[in-house]
Amino acid sequence: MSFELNFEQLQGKLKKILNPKRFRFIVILYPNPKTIIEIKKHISKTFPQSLVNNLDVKNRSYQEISSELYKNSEGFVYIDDFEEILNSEDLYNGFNQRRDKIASYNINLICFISIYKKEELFTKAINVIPDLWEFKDSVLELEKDERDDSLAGMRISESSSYSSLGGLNSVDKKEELERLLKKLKEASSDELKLNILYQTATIYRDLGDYKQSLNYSKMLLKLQEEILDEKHPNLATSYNNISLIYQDMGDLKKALEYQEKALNLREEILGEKHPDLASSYSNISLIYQDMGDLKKALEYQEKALNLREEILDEKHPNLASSYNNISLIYQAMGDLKKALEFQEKALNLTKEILGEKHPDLASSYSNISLIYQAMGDLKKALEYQEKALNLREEILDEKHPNLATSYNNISLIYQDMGDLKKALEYQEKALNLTKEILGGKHPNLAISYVNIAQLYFQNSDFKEAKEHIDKAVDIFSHLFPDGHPHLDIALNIQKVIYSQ
Amino acid sequence: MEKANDFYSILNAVEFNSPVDKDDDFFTDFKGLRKGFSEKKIFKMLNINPNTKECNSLNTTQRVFLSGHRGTGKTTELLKLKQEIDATKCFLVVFCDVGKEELDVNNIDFVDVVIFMLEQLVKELKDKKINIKSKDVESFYKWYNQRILEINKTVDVSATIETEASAGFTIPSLFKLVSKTKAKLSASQDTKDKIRRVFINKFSDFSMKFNEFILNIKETMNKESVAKDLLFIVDGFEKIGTLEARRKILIDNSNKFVEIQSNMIIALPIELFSQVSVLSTFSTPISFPLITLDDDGTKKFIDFIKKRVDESLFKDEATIKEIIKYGAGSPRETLKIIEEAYLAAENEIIDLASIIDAKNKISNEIVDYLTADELAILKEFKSNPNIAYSPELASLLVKKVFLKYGDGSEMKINPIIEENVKYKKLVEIE
Repeated sequence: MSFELNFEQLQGKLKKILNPKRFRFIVILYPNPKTIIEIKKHISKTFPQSLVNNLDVKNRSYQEISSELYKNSEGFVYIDDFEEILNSEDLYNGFNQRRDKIASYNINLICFISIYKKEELFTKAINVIPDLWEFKDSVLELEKDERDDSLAGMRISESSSYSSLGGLNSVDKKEELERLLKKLKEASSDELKLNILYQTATIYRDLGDYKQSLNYSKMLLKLQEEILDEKHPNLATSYNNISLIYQDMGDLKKALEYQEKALNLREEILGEKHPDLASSYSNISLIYQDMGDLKKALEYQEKALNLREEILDEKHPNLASSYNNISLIYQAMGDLKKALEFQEKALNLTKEILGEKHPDLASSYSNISLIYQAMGDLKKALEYQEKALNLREEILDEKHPNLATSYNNISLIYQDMGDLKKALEYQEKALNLTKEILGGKHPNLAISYVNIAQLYFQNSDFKEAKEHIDKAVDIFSHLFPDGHPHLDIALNIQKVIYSQ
Repeated sequence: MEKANDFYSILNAVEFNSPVDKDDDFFTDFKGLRKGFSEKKIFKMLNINPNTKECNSLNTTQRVFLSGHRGTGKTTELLKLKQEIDATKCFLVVFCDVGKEELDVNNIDFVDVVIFMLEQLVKELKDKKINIKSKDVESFYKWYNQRILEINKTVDVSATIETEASAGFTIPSLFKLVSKTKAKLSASQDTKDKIRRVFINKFSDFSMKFNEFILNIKETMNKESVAKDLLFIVDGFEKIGTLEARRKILIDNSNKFVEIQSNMIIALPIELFSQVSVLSTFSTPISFPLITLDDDGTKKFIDFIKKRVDESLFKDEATIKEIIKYGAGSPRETLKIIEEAYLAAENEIIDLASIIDAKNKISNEIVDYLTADELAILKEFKSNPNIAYSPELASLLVKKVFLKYGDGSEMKINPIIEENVKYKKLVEIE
């Protein structure tokens, strides 16, 4: 039986419990930090005359906060980071030992903690604040809002798949495509044809034109099957690449089929202890992750990690990649503690092997930021995302797609913080850069349109919201078949926006 | 090098640190005396008629892994092959000795080898003044230059690789750029790692651009009748740091070698020969065995010794034959025994007593450091000559306790070890 409440039910419960003239101790488990703002707004609306005290406990001692805690003899005291109290000996002892003093004030002590910390709350509170815990009136758990999911900001993935062929922006890449296609027409040898087909398919994928990329990849595979030995390792590379394109297109069944073909061939020709097998396991894991089968995703990613641990140096970057992928799975499972643990392992190893100025380090910072964001620690999320951005600005080309990823991520944090102006500013930076380097038909551009549409929607500027979401739907529907998750999200948002 | 006609010239005449080429006075052709190996086979694989040296174009890319003990004459054979193939105009042969050049052999990665091969290719084109048009260099140059800029953003200023904005897309300018990269691969660990990471992360792209460049070169060479195809001969892996490092480069990255679409002959360290089943699907492993010491083999070794050291400096023919016996069919080991015997000789002549001293010294240096696991394998070998591959077996091959003959499947214990008293005691030979 679930005790999770929707927002309306929570309002009902609060109405029964809250009383600004009496002591109350309430803990609210929230799914998304944005809901803290909404709850506070609701309480202020219900009790407009009551005093409000937002108590910041982060990195502070009980001594430092005590005067603020007792500054009002009645009203509401909000603690947004209740987790801090559970983890700081000074704070939990301070609160627990002064329970009676605190309870002598007619305050409503309302403490917020992420639903991802639910287990930690119930196991720790009884141990570290046993006396205060006895005085709790209620622990209210707010359910995840489906609407919140459909209107969640869309992420641009870290573009590790973005190739270096044909330069780093869409103009150069298109120019290179022109050269290659001309060369393909004139090519007389199969060797040259294979080479050009590979490059062409890769550049089309970079440009987000998955249909053409698949088309040329299949032409390449056909020619390879005609002229290469059936056990040639290049066939496994082609199966792998086709699988990745199907994954981009959202056809996960086909993606899995081709990735398994690559794995089988690699197992046959490379034996059981080859690093390429670990890459295949890892890619299969990513497909299962997209399918939502997180158990299988974890199983395959752990297989990849075990093999890498067995055959690679203990300081190999591919181990960091495994830790990163495992972290992402735990994040999807909602186990943010484990996600953070693995991401920190990835970060430390990357730093140790590749130094302080490497693009992989920026990706690690960015991924840690995403975990903090999911935990509701937006300050830390912003801190890490800015670290990622600064590093990228320093070491990457100023027109690199990963800069747009950083802008998008920062925008989403500001959106969660409720700072829509800054969110829009960063999202527009992401949009402009993406348009410049990847062109006007890339899925990453559509993601920026979706996110901007939502920002306008939140700002009640429905005209702009409609204009942007239409652009996103237009791009996605050209690129993806019906049922692709990106297209579905955009269509849902379009529906919500047009319902206003 | 000159032949030793007096006793104290022997040391210089038996130096074995540099291979001799076909035109050298010391060159001895052991052709036909390595059972299981025939030079003709390599010519045929390259589509060259071994008799007329006429050639046809290859339909498939050939990759040959030539495996043999250190000192068995692989480098000499490969240099001879280069000379002979160069003369046919079938291939532009690019000889890459990874152990000799300025790569850091104690810390080398697969990608270092590929960059080195690229440098040697461009050097060959430059030296031979093969006119590759700017349009055929441009695409690869631009890609490569972009990687260098990427590397420069991650390394300290002192470690940056200098690029020239107005260099033009020419073979000399590409050579400069690649050479500078290669030089930095001997710099600090941090710089090395960063260069490697950029190329490894984009290895598929690297190989594609490299291959397109190779195809452009082939087209030009064909048009200008310089050569029909390209052949890399890669030697010197034995000099690379550890057994594990060699295994990683050659076995773990074997499929990456395949991504480079060029014919290659790669000298494979003997201890990795047992693992070639991994490679056999996309390459041909060939054993380059020790010389079989039958009558013809022994006769050839007598010639080999007499070319370097005058026979008057040996007590008699029996002494020379004793040296050949303990040399076990390896030119380098044979020279090593002469060197030790020279140092051990009481008088100004190499006699049986000095050979026994030399034999004991060389074998003791090996036997004294055999590990318990290696001894266990040696004991097992007495009853079961088909020993499965293991790191210990690999180590015994490196130490030349085991010697391989024929097609690589025939394995014997080095005669110099077999007669060692300590060894006999350790493996309890009655």
